[in-house]
Amino acid sequence: MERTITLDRLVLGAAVLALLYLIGAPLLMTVFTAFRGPVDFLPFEPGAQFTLDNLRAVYASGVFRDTLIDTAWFVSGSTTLAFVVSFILAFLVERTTLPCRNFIFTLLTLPIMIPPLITGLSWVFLLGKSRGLLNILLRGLLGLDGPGPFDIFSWYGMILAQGLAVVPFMFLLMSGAMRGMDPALEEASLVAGGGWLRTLTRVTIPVLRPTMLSVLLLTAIITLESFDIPLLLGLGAGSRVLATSVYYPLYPQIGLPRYGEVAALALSFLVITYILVYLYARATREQARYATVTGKGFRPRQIDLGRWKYVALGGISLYVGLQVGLPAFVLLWSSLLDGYRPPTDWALLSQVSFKAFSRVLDDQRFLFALRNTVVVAALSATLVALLSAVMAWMVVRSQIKGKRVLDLLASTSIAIPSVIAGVSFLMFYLATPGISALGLYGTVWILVLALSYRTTVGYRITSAGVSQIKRELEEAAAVCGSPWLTTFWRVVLPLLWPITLAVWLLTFIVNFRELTIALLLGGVDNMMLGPLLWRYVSSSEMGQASALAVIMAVMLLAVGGFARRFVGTRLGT
Amino acid sequence: MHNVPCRGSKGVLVASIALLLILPLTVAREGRAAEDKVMTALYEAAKKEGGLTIYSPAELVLRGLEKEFAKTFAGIEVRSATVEPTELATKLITEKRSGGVRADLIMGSLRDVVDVLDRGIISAQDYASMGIPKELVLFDSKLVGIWNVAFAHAYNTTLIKDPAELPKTWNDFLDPKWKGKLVTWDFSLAAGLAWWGLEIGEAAVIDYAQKLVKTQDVLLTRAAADVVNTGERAIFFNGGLAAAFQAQAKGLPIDFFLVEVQGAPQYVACVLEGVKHPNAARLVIKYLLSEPGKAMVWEYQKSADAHPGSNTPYAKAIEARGGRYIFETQDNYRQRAQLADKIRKAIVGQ
Repeated sequence: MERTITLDRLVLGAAVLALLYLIGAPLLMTVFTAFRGPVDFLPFEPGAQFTLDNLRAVYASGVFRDTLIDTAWFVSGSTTLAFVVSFILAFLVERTTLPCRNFIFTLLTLPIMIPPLITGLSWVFLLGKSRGLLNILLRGLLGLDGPGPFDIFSWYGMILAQGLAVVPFMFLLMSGAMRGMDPALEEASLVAGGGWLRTLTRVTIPVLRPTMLSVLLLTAIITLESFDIPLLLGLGAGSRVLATSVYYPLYPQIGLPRYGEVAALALSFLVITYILVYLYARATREQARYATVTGKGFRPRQIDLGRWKYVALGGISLYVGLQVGLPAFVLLWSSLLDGYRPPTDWALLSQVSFKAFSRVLDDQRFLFALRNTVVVAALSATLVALLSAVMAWMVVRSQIKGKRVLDLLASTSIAIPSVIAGVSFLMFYLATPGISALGLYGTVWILVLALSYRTTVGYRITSAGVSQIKRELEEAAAVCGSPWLTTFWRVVLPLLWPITLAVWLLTFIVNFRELTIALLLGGVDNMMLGPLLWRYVSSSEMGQASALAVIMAVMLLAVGGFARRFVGTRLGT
Repeated sequence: MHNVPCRGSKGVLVASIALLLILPLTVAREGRAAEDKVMTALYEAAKKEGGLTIYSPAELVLRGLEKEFAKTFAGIEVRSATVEPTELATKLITEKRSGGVRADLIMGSLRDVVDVLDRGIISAQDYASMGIPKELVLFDSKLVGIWNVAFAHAYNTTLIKDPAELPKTWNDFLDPKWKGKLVTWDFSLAAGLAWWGLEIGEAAVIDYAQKLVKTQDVLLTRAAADVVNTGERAIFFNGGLAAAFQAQAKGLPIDFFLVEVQGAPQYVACVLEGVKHPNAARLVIKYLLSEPGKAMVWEYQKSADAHPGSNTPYAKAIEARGGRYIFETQDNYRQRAQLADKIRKAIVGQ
């Protein structure tokens, strides 16, 4: 008994320490950096001192207020669009008799496999005012003259591109929650004559509230931090969102990047994130009310769409065509033509070849980078998924002191922009006495540890998942004398398995296509595919960049398909 | 008396002509021999080191070095890491603080490298003894100029078929006919205009930049080159010669034009302090300035020296189009960069 308690505490203690190590380091570095100056010195250099200059530079001008207003519009617009679209898609795929659901599921998650930089570029090729493929098609169909009708370099263009970019992510999370929902309440409502619409609005949506709030929160924060699309489309739209405000001090015309100002801006990311986490916690205070995963076996009931399935299929086809088909075509076309040209001339077909693919496969760095990427993405995803499960269970279920601090800490990583996290890790692993002696810099291990700081998404989703599990199961285990660790391992984790696997998959995908941190911490011996892709993009080799993006997407698709099949089997769905 | 000097003059004339013909050949041969001697000595010393590591944002040249350098200098492996321009200094300073920089050689624009000059990271070298012309050696023998990043305006030839229509001066861009036709990104817009600003003054150039962005619906995006390559916009305002030549090499309908004055930032290379492979690093610098090295840089990246008379594709193209360039030096670097910073702030309000 004594030994078991010690082991329990040991595991919990190790999880807390791991969290402190993975997130505490960049968090402390961010706060430290925000108060260090002048700009001619890096924060840890001997010439640097504590100062409020960075805060003044960021917050004393009227620019920040305008930035906040623009950001609020951008985030709310993109999140609303993404939420509505992904809820409908998840509901149709998971809770109805829609045909070919597995295939549609795979199609809907496809864009998540494509690096955001490439997705952003494909929007330019699709909705560019003059030569955008979709605009050309629409002008031809509607007999319109001149440029347009759409312009991706606009406010609505940026919101559309960002909103649709996060749909696959939201869809994946929502579909997991809908799949794991006990249908007993819905059945009761239907038996009582509630009808499907009333059941949906009065039962299904309220039951899914913690997950939906969690997904909304995450999407809002991801949009807040989104860098690629605002940088490609937002400058043209004249917008000034937080992410583009980070970009200016990072790319100065003269001198070192102004990391102090970037960190000062990151403080506002942190404050906004904490406010959102607080609101979420308030909204889901009585979590037991939402528990739907019980000890009883179940199979989620599916709504028979009848003839409406054709309408649903039509709507999904339109979405898939716009968000998956056209960008995938642009990507493939660009890789086959060795650079993108609008497909307006049949003569271009004669130039189609696999040259770009061969050059990528012949590139001696490709296999090396692939191996590093798989190792880093898989290990960091495993670390994040396990930590998320332990943390979520501790915060939701246990009565330990300081669990709110853990909750905030685990929710913090998303508020630290990748670039700040990257610089923080660089400084932490190179300039901290004792840590630098470990010799992690330049190896894949520094990337595994650095990329494992992204716990927020996994933690919040798992946390919502734990709140859906009724306590009766753990209580039953406890009555049988099962210690905490055994209960967690044999009762909680198997029930959380679909969510944990979804967290693993998401983290794997995000880290597989990682760019910013991999560039900063990358060297000769630990190159990943993201930086290789960036090398192609930065040297204007769009053909090779597209070919590599296609290869990466196919690989991730295979992993996603395998995971989906595995989750499906485990759930018996 | 008259004939003697005359005969003597003839002899002197013949001798002078012969000398004029032979001397350059002899000097050239001796020069080549000296070059070969330096190169051979460096190669022998570098072979003992076995290889080197290079950090640079110049991805294409790094790739060229990895492939081509080893063909000429067997036994010396080039390993490289592409680093974002603005992160090069951060990486070097941080590595230095942790006990030593991992690279032996870096290549970057002056903007990327200048901030580490006073931090004991770059070593001064006796570049004169390596036969490197003194005009290429900068900042107390710490940096060597290897090529120029020449600004130029790229345009899509399917959208602008007659080059005579193109702007000939900076002010021509303000013509309403170019409204909605220009694309660039804020960094490039400011950096390119700052060179002209050195001539017309700070207030005038800032006023021009604001007017241009406000009235001409200039599209600002990081994907500016792709936007012009696909024909979405007609002109990449303040693009670069290298990007234009690269696009042409891919068969894209891109050409470039120049206005009254453009800027040519300097790309440099340098050996780092206390490195394990100094001779291999020196050999790479020497190679980059040799004819095969220059050919490699042109083949892979379409970059070259833009100075008049340098007999490079850049110099020839600039001369053919009557362009005038202000070249970046250690004297005008800071003034130009500070002005670019002010222009950018005036445009984006940061």
